[in-house]
Amino acid sequence: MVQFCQMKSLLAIVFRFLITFIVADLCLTMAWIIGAALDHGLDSVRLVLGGVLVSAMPASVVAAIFISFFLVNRLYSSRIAGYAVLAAVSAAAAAGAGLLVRFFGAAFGSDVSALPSLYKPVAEWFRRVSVASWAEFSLGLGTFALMNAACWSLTRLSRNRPLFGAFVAPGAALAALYLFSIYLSGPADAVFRLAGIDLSRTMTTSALATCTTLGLVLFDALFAMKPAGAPRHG
Amino acid sequence: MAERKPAYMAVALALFAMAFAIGFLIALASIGHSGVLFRFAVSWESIKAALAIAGWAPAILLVASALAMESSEAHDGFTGAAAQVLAPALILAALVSIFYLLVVPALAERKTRYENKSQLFVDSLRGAEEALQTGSLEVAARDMLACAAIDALDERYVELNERVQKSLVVAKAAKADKAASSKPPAPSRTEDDDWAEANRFYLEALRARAEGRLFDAHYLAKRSAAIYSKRPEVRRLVNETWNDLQRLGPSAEQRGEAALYKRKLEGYERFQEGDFLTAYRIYSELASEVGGDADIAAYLKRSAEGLSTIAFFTEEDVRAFSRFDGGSFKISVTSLDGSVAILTASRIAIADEAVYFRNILYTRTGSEPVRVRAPFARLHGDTLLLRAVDRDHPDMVWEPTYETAAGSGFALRLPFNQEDAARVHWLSGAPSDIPINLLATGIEDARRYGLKTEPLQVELAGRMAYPFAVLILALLGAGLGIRFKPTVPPSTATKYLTAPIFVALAIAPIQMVEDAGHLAARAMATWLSPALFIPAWLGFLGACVVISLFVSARIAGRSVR
Repeated sequence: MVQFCQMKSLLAIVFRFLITFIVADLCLTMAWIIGAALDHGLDSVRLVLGGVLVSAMPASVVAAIFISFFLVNRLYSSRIAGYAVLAAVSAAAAAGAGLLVRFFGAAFGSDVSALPSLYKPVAEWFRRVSVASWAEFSLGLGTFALMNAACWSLTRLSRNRPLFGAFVAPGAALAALYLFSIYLSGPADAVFRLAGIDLSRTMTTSALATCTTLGLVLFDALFAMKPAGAPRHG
Repeated sequence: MAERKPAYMAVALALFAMAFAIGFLIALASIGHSGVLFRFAVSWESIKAALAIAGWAPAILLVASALAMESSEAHDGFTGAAAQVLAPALILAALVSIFYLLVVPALAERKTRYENKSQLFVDSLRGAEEALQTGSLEVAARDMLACAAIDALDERYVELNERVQKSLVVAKAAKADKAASSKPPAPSRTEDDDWAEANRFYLEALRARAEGRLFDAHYLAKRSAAIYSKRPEVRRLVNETWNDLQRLGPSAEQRGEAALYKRKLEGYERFQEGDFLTAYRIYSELASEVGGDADIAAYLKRSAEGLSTIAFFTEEDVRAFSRFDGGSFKISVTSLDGSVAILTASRIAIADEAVYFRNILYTRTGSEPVRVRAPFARLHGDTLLLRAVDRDHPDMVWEPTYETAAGSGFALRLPFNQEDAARVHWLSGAPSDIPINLLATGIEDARRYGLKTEPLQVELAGRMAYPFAVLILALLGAGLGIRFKPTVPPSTATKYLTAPIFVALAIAPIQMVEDAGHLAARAMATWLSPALFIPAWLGFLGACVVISLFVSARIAGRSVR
């Protein structure tokens, strides 16, 4: 019975994640395509549609994982179990999207001109890492997925005021993407070079994402409340 | 169990007060970088604070709604709970929307005006300083006029204006000296010629004296002496006729009156000839010398009236710009014959009686093309006057420069009138500054005058969306409040202390949604016909409200009953 409940919880999370992921991807694609069509004419839609659809996936993973945090808060009382589930769905989604680009990338096209300038580095990184060696593929997408999952603690800042988590989450999702784009920038590389470490851009980004993940998990252990574990209202 | 009434209004009003205070503090901190003149500082800061309220109002309504429902003990699901918060939320949403739609554009326009005026003041001050250094006193005087219209008490203006006025006086004196010294010398004559000429005047003087014409006798004797001064009988005649005049002639006062009369007559002649500017100069000079003369006052007024048909006074321009400064301006009108008239100006001021421009360029295509520039211009009805006169110093005149052979004169008949210019000015300014009534009715006019209509449609869509947005956010806030109830209800102090943090957290995501809405409005404005735009947009907003109602119910954990 316990196993059935756990299975049911997991399926609920996966289902919520997938639905949110698809909806977010479609919404983001539509918004960015409309922007491109307004700026460059309707003819440009055909050229950039595939590229934008694929490029929106990292942002969709972030949106979906943040929405899933609240369901995990309600269904899991163990941090470890929660993180495991979140890391798994996040990594699976990122890997799935990466594989899609790896094997069918050419069919989608690679025009990312329609994307907002702040998001372009993330989209370009996603395409680059998707077609890189399997080691870089796993490391890049895995650390990205883990960093997103580690943001779970931000929705449990206060047990007395769960509303805090609800208000922090949207901003935190935007901040996570922004932070990741900073990790992809030149200054982040420069930090490593300054320390005498010569790594590729993918590796430095993974290293910084891992550090962020560890920091967030540490924050969770020290300050965040334990997940409630069961639906309290409704 | 008795239900605690959600303190929606109290939380919302407290947050609005906090928003005003924070907005004012931010404005206070940023005024140093804004370049706004000290004269406008307090008004500008207050407006910035009021605009901050308008900008943060959606987030405030969301948070107020969430906090109210978070503390409520409603247990009949979303519908019942939402009803509790919706009544005050709707009232507040209506009030905030009215504020946003009717007051905010006027405030935004005033803020822009303060910023433009401050910028114009600084630019004019810099321009005057440079013109003074290069000796372009006319340009310096013009820039000083612009400064005076904005803030005549500013220390920088007072100091520079003193220097400019001094230079003007020096230049005027130098000009007068030069004119005096450049008079051609009289042609040389022989002594015999002079004697003969002088003798003729002498004989005429004697005849005039014999006939009792003492003025003529003295005048002719003086002329004779002036031509040939060596004859003592002539000098004697001059003295004798002068003595006769002194005995019989008018007093010094009468002579002064005669001179005054002569000047008045000269002014009158200029007035009759239609040279209103010279007439005005003569009468204004006489008015400053002789106050209270009825003729001078009457003809000064009439010459000013006459002058107003071919020029206007810069004081009108200064007065208009002191009340209003609309920044740059452009209007393009295509007539039925296919000719295109384009008027551009660096500045525009709209007054009740006329519209004033600075640094205009007017071009008209067609069979008789015209291209003219002028530093000042006034549009009254459909007549554009291109000559400006300084009332206090009528010597200072700013005139148009025609770059085509076809044009001439100081007045032009335009294919649009002052109302059209004012309307185009409003519609071509920042869309956020346009009053809602003009925005709703002016899009067609904007199309006719060659302006881009898409920004206006998008702004109209944004204004229309505001009441829907605050309603949607109040609903979502209610859903969040019910869904994320605290284990222990927070104290009032905690609630009020944490509320600004919630508002700050909500601003960025709301901004993103606003950007998406802006994109949707742009898409509809671009791809739909003007007739379909508003119904489609209202339909879209209605759909958003319905979706948000279901989403809120879903977040709250209950379905809508």
